[in-house]
Amino acid sequence: MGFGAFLARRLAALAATLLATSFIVYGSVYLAPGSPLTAVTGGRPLPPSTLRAISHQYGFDKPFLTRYWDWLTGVVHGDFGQSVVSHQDVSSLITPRIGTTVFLIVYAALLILLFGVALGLVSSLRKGHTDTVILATTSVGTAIPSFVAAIALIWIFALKLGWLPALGSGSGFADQLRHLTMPAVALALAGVAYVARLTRAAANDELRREHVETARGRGLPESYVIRRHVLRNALIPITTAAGLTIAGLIAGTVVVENAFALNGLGSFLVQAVGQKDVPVVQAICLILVAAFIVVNTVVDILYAFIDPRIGLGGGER
Amino acid sequence: MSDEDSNLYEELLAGRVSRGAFIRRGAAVGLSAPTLAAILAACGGSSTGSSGTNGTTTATQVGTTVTTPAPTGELDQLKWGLFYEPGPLDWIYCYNYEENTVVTNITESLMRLTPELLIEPGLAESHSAPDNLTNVYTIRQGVKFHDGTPMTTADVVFSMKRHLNPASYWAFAYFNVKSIEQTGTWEVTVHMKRPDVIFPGLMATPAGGVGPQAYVTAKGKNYGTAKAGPVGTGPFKFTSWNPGSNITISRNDSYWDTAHAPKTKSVVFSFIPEESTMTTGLLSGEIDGAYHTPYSGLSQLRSSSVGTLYLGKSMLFTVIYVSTTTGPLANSNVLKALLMATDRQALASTVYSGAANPLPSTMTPLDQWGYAQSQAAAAYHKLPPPVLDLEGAKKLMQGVDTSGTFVIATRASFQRYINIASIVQDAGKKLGLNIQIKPVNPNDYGNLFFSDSARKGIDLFISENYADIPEPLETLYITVTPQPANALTYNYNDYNNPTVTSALRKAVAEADPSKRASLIIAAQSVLADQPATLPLASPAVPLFLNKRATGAPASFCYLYYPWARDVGAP
Repeated sequence: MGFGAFLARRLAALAATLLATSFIVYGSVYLAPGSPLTAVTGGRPLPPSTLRAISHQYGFDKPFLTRYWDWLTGVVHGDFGQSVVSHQDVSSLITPRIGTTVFLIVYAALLILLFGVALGLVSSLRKGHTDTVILATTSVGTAIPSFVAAIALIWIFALKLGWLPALGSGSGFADQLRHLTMPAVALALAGVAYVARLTRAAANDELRREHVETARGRGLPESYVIRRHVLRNALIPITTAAGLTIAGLIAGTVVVENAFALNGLGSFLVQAVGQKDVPVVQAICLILVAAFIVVNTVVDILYAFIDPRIGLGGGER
Repeated sequence: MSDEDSNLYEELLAGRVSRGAFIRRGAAVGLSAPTLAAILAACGGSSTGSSGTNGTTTATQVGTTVTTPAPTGELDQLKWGLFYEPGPLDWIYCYNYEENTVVTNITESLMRLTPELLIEPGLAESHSAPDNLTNVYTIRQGVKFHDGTPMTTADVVFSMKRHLNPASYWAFAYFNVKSIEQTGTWEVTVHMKRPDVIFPGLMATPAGGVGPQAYVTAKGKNYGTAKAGPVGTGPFKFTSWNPGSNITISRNDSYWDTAHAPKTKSVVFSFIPEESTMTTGLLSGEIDGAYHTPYSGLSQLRSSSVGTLYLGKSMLFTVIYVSTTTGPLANSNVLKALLMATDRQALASTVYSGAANPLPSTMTPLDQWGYAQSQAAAAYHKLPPPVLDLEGAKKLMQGVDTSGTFVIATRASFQRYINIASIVQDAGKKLGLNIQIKPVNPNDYGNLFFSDSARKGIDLFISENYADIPEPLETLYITVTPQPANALTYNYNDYNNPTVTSALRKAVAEADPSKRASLIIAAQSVLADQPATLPLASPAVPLFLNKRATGAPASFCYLYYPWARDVGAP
């Protein structure tokens, strides 16, 4: 399959997935009990006349399908609607938050790729103590949920040592880097451990292969053998694991952003779901689903580059 | 202060030592008289004479603090924590904690709630009621909005009339209003359909807020959002709003109330929804202060050396509303017994980490009385005290058919409500009542207050409610008397006791404070014997202030008083 056809097929699938997602999300938020009006008053009652007036203003009194259709036609025209809680356009609420979440995910992904692959390779190539220590550490690492990591990191680095800020996203690149270091580490920790273990296993597999023995027997330098014969072949499982882990980070941001009071999409999603702010929930879910699909597509394309025997679209040889 | 001094100080704040004992022990550990006086003044309470609860402070009373030590210098920036990002800062939509915490510094009202929880004139120079159907406001002259335009009487009339639109969250305040007119160059007259003594007090809330007609009209639905920030007359003007991160307000250098010119150049409000993150932010000094800090972090904040935790005078009350009209819970003797068997003292000390007072059988804590305080206090102390009386409770239950199960709703994953529900469940068990705890998702929980259908299958639900103004009638009247279909109500069990209804209906029309107090007290004593709800505790307002800032009022006034103007450097 050509690259163009591949992309076109992926794009069509993306659009179909988004449409289905939007309907499911809209439906489930609609069916969930409660009303966005309870969020705006903090649970204090409002008289029936006020409730009616606000419901009418936001079209809550219209039937479900009409509301969904209104929303869908709006989106097609680039209008994602207005937040019920803040009275503002959803796009103006989401734009400033995307940056934080993207920064956090990219930062965590780099940590995973860098430390995960490096630790795995070191572990595989240096048998003995180093291997044991890394293996033990990563076993613990995979078992630590990000919210636990967040609490521990805040306690050590913000409260005891005072090195890093405990909350907020910062402004400007250097300040953001400082603010997002702890959140990125908390988010990446389990991923680093997982990718390290997988890299170790994949490299160990390759090291036992005949062609590696042959290469060594022919007197090729060790570094060349590692790069050319071990790493190259181990990259497929590593890419799969890293890709899935990084795509999983998108969901993980929800927890970490809340713990560090970051102005990202994840914490906004939690807030909006709690407030039943349908237009906001919709828009964020669609962005997250789209991002997940895009990351997976990138992984598929990478396969084809790493191993030319694998065709685009996966599995076609 | 040395460690021992600060421990003693904390004990005073927590209410564990009386003022007398504090002075004796303080002198013993070598605190000088001026230091003791300064600390006592900082703690506010009965010796200032302004708190209005003279002689009522018992050894267990917490939440008497009104102010914090006055600042001596200017502060460049104050970093304040909010529990959530506020909705629009248009005063007609400011009906919840954090919206009010911010907007009260920007948009001022005709009247104002003071740190002592009394009502004083604000943008109105004076208020008078020539008869019980007329309220006359004399508007203050020489006041300017932040955009430089002068505040006119037309702006006031326009602002009040915005609440006649039912979409205003404060529309309920105007339920009895017939008309609002300008009756003089600086005079506004509000005519009422029926007498309503609660209305004038509500003018201290955003129901009496004033904004510039031209600007508000021009901005339309964007007014008060990040796109078109609020413009008012307050000590601070809106500067910026970064959605998801923070709101900044900065000093209004031409503030009309020159005696209270702000001492802080700007205040940055950050949004921190996680309780533990808020506590951490305060402990690490990244946040200078916050009102209503999480009860879960009180012990950490209490023992912190970066700042001081104050327990402020409040109008909060924790109550269980009854939402069934059948079965034993519709029997007032059973409710009375359930209350007697509920350990309200344990509830105040455990669920609220000691930052609450157990309530005797009344929904209106003394701090809600902005008038007739000695009369109210005398009656309050005659109410059945909040002590466990299992024997008495069991006597009341004799002959009652307790069959069936009863459901108490709690907000899911909200530990405080779950703990309260268990205490009530335990009390029920001792009386033979099988009470089941039902966790309800947070959204649905809010809906319990809104709709009959949401309350189906629920017999009891917990609320931490508050009075907006120091007028016990504000919440009491709509909880225990029948209300018209379109009115605001908390009367979820159709409570209608002829004596209570008649006394409170008279009270709502009674302009004389002392006579009004007598009527409320009469209703209160009937309610103690035949309860409509289960009043449990009156929580204090926890305020944490970093050492680098001081002066913020400690009381519940922070919702409707421009509190940031009082903050500066120590």
